[in-house]
Amino acid sequence: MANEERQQENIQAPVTPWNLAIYYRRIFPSHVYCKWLAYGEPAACPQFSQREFSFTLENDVYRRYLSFTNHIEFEKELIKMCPEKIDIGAVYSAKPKDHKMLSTAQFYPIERELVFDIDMTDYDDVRFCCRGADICSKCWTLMRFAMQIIDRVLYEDFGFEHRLWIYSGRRGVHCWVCDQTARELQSSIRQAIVEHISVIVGGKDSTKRVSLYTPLHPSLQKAREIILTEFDGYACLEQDFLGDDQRIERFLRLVPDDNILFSYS
Amino acid sequence: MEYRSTRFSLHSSASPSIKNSNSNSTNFSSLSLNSTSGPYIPYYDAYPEDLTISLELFQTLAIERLKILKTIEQVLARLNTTLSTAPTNKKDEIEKLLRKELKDKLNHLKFIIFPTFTGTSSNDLQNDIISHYILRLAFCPSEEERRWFITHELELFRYRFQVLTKSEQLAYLNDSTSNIKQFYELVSDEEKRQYKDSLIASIQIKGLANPSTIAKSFETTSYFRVRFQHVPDLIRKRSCFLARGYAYVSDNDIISFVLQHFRMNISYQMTCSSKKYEFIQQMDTRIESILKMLRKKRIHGTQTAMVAFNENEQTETITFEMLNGLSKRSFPLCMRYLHDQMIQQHHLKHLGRLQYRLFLKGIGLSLDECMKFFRHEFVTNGQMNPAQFEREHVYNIRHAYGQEGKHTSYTPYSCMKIIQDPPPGVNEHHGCPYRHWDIPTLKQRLTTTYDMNEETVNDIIDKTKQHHYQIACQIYFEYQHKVKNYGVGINHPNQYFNESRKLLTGATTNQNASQM
Repeated sequence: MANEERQQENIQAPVTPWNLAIYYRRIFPSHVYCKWLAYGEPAACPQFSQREFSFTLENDVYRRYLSFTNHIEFEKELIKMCPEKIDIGAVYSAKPKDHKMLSTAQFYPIERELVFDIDMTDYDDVRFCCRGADICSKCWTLMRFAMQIIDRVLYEDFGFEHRLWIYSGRRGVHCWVCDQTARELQSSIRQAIVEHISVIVGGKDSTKRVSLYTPLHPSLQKAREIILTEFDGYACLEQDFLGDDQRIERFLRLVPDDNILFSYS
Repeated sequence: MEYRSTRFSLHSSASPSIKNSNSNSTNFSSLSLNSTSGPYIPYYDAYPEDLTISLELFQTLAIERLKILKTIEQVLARLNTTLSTAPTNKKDEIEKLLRKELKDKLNHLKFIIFPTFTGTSSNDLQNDIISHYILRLAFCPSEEERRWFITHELELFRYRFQVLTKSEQLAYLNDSTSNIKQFYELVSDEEKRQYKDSLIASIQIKGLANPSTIAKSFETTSYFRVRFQHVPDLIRKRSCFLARGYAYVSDNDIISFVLQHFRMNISYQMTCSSKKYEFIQQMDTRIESILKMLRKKRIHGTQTAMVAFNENEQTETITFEMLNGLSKRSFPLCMRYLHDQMIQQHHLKHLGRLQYRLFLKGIGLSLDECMKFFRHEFVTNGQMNPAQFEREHVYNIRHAYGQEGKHTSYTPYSCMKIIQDPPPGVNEHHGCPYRHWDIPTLKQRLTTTYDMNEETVNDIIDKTKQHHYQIACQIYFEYQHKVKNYGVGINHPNQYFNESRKLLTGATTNQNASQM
């Protein structure tokens, strides 16, 4: 293919099998990646070799229960398969690629990092600038609030030291909590932690409610303080949340007290 | 996912039964029973050695404890909640219902549910522990049974702990026979003062408690520091203060981590027991049969069919013309369906005839009326010629009423029998709808044919999915009769019918009927 044609293609489809292969061969930091996952142990340790990976290949082909004996094998497979997406699973009691030969007594998850996933789409009903997978500097503030609030809870309240915040690649962030205690948590307590942090209840309609009572729980007080540092600029200037009649209407619908409601409408 | 790591990296627990590293047995006198305090809930981590009991007592104790656990299961399923998630008013309802159901049914283990009723204290504790161990023996081999046992022992523990006074609960924390001391630390006054505002703000209960009352009682409240992993319920509800991985628990919420400690203990012990069970070479056949019976009873309940349904209770005269109306108002779904199929197809296959016929006998349909009904459907409306009816059906109907052969009057089938018996095949309509129909069919029929509203249908489907067939039937009963919380458990179609007639006709005739 001539150079101009190749460039043309690149503009239309930024990710192709061709440049993905180059990416994995030259740019993707396999060595560091595996060192991170092995928690400092040599790459052939069970921590790494019994870790499940799943690759999403071209045409949405999804391959689960992949495992690699060390970082060399990992890199080789990566270059061979060129996945569009890599998911990191749990560490199991045996090599995931052998799971079909084993019973549930022999093959079960041993540990898994505590991972939080925050999506901008969850904020669609409170941001006016973007929708769906779009993000801009105006609504990214919401993400910053979320990260600061949750990070404080994870560190100050739950005592988690090793927290990794990363951009997920599309429309949000992930937080990986890697403390030993976090990795060994049962599902029930993980669920409890999520519910602890959750404040919004209710479904997809706009009467999603936040029910708070005074005095606020200490963690909610601290969350409020974090938001207050930037709220005016965010809400009034960036989002302009009372900027037109429609927006005022939406806001008034959230006011629970009918007396206040009627005196302003 | 449940992680089966045996590494307890949690701050305080190394091995749950540290104290028993020397021996697994105990003399009861060595248990530090606070003789002045009342109820004592054992940890079940020491089995009684040098003790012999009769086989009869062995069986009785096991059945009684199983009855308690089953009743807990049924009460919680009925009220659709658990003791941990229930709000305070529902908790009272659970306790009341539990006590009502078990009022006259307990003997040796009565004190477990009714703590004021204690026999000789040492016997009580003994019976408590023994009955637990027998059930542990029965349920440790299979995972499902282990899970069921642990879940309901936990609810029982919670029930017993909740009724203790605060000082009794605190005494529990100081019990030297357990290793619960490793779970918590008493918060010093200094630290309490440091965190005063946060602690007060954390125990806010959804705007119900007055903050100034809490502030007043703050001085006299003790706080305990525990690892956050030990109090999942408090974390979930955001009702405790957290700092650096520790939860600060007030003495009102001790149950949270006591229960967790109990849970860890019992899970660990069940797993150990199950491993040991594999090595049992030979078991006394009498014990084996008792264990088998217990496993069966766990699923099907501890009531016998005889207690469930009294034939003499039904005193109205029923004619076969009344059946159409009665089926809509007072029949359980299984019989209403059989009746409908009879009316539509003008025929029923063998097992359906058996089930329906005996039911009709039980509701008081006389032999004559029954004969008239079958003849009317099969011959007059159906395809059968009279001679064939005479040949194939008259004898059987008479036989069911005890007019032929052995002259045994057969008992109508109980729910248990209907659920357990062979399921219906093609063109067969017997069985229990909640057990034998698949969920989409059940849903569709309830909604369309039986015109039920969506909420009730979903309720029934819910219970069916959890295999609580008789509770699903109860929901149908309540819907049919527009009542709530009717209370009595359904375990016999004729009992359903009798209860229905009682409700609809005012029950005056039955007050004179003989006591059950």
